[in-house]
Amino acid sequence: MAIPPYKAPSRPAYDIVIVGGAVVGSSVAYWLSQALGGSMSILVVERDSSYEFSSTALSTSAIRQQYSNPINVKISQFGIEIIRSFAERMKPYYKDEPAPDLGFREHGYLYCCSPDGVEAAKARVDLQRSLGAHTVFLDPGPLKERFPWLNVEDLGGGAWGSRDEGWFDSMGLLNGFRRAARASGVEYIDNAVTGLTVAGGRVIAVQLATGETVSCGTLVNAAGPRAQQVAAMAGLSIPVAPFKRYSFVFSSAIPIPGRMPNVIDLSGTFVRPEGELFLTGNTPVDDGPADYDDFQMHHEEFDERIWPALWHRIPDFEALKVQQCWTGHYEYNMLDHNGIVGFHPEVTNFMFANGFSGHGLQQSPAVGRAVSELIIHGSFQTLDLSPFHYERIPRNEPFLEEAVI
Amino acid sequence: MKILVPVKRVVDGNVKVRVKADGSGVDLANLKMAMNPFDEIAVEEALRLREAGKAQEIVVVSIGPAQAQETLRTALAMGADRAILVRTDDAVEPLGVAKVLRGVVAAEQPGLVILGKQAIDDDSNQTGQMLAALLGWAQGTFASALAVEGGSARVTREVDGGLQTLELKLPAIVTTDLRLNEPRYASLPNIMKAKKKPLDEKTPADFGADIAPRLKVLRTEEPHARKAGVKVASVAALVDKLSNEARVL
Repeated sequence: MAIPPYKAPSRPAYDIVIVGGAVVGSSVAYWLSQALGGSMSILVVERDSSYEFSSTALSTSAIRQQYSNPINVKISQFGIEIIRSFAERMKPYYKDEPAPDLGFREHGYLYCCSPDGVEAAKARVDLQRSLGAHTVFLDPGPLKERFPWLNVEDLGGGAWGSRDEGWFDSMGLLNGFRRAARASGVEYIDNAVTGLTVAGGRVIAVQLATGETVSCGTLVNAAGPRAQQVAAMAGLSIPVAPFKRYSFVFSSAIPIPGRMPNVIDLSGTFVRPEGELFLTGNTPVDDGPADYDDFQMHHEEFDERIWPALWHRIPDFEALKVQQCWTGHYEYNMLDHNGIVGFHPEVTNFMFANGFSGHGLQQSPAVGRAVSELIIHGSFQTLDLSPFHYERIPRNEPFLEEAVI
Repeated sequence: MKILVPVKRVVDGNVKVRVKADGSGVDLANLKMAMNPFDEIAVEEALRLREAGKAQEIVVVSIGPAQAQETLRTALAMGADRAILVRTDDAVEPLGVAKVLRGVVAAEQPGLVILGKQAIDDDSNQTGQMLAALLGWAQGTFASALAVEGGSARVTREVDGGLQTLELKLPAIVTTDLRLNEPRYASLPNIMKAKKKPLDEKTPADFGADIAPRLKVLRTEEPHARKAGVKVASVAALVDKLSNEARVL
C-alpha cells in the first residue's frame, strides 16, 4: 500500500491540531467534536491514511478488565461501554447503511497463575471485583474442569474474566470515530508534521511536509510509536519508543472445543481463537527500542519460543501451521508501560496522549474523552486520569502496572 | 518398494513477494520460506502408501542451498525416513533438477518417484516430465488419485470435462495435483525427532549432473496495479462505458 498523496490544509490557523489520525487521535477528535459541536476548528494530520503500519491496524485488538491499577480497570470499563454501544452511537453518521458492529467476541481472558503468584493474583481479582469486574479466581481443579484442554499441572490457578473481556474490530472503531469527527466538522489531511515552533512556552505553529505552516491554539501528540519524534520537535522528551511485536495466525490439526478465552501463559505468550484459526504473540526475545520503519519479521520467534510454550500449556497445540504473520509496534513507555496523558507544564498547550504500551486501542475511548475534557474544561470531568500525568516522567516516578502483556 | 520424493524450498504461499529494484528477480531477503505445497502433497501420498503397506521406505531429496535442510527436516517430521540435500547455491533450472534427480534415482533405485506438479515460485511444471524422459519411465502427471497394485500404479487425472485413468508400469513418475490429498501437519514432537533422522549432503557433481543454466532472465515485473473504479450515473452510462471504453460489449 502506498502512502496517499499529501494535501494542503484548508486554513492558515486552527484552534486544535492533532498529530496522528489513528485510533487515539481520532478518539480525541471525536470527543472534541461532540463536545464543541463545530465551534472550534480542528485539524488532524495523518502521515499515512492507508494505516498500513499503524499500531491500530496491526493490533491484536483485545480488551480486558484484568489490570492491577484501579484506573486501568475503569478505563477498560468505559471502553467496553463504548464498544457495546458503538453501532447506536454511530447511527447518525451512517444514514443509509448499517452502522459498524465491532464484532465483539466476549470470550474473556484467562491469566495463568504460577503457584507462587496465587496470593497476588487473588488480590488483583478482589480489586477488579470491587470495581465491578467479573473476574474469578479458579483453583487448578475447577480450572481444568472448565477448560479441559488446559495443562494445569504447573499452575496455582487462573484468573478468568467471564464478562466484559474479549476482542473486537480495531479498524471499525477507528473508522467510526474518524467518520463521526469528520461529519462534525473536523478536518483530516494526508500530511506529515515536520516541525513545531515554540514561543513563550506555547506551540504557536506547525510545519507540514508540503511546506505550509499553520498556527495552532492547542497541539495534541497522538503520534503512537512516533510520539517522541513529535515531542522532540517542541524540544521535549518522553521515554516512548517503538517496540516490535510479532503476531502469528495459525491453524491447529486438533480444534479446541467451546468458548476459548484469550489465554495468557506464564511465559507471557498469549493465544486466542480467530475464527477457526488462532492468534498468538509474546514478548519477543530481542525486545527493545526498534527503528521507526523496522517491521521485519522474526519467524524463529514462533518456532523456537511461542510454539513450545503453547504446546506446554495446551497439549492439543501439538501440530500447528502458521497461516499469516505480521509485525506491529507498541508505543512503549520505557518508564512504567503506562500512558502519558495531559499538558506539558512548560510548553503549556502541548498535550500528550502517548505511551500506551499495547493498551492504546482498548484505552482510546476513555483517553480521547479525557483529553477533550482537559482541553475544553482544563480538568478531568468524568474519569480522573491524573495518575498518567506527564510530571511523573522527569521525576522518574513510575506508575506501575503489573499486568502487562 | 522405495519411494523418492523431491521437495523444493520456496517462498511461503501466504507471503506477498516484491520484485527487486533492478528487475533481476524476486527479493527473497528475510521472507518466510516453506515447502512447495505440491511437494507436501507428494510427501503425504508417499506416507499413505507406506502406511498402507505398499512401500517400505521414503527418501526425500532437495536441491538447493544449506537452508533447504529446513524443508527436508519438515518432510522428515511429517514421517519420511531419510533425506538427501544436493547442495548448490546456484539457481537450478528444471532440466538441471531433472538431471540431478536422474543421478539420485540411479543411486537409490526407487520403485516410484512422486513430485509436485509444479513449484509455486517459478510455476515451471517441467521437472517430473523431464525426469520421466531422461529415465525412459512411464509418467502420470497431475494425479488426483493414486493406487499402487503389484507392479503397476493407477493414476487418476482431472482433465477437461471429466477424469482420465492411466495404468503405469513401475518404476514410474507421478506428479501431484492439488486434490490428491490434504497433507498432515508436522507435530512439534515429530519436529524434534526429525532432527535425529539421517540427512546426507551431496553436490550436483556427485551425481555427474550438469546444472549450468540454459535460460537467461531478461526482466521481472510486478503485475500492473489495479486502477481505481469509477461510479456511473445510469445504466445507459454504464453500457456506454462498457462498449466504448472497456470494449467488452
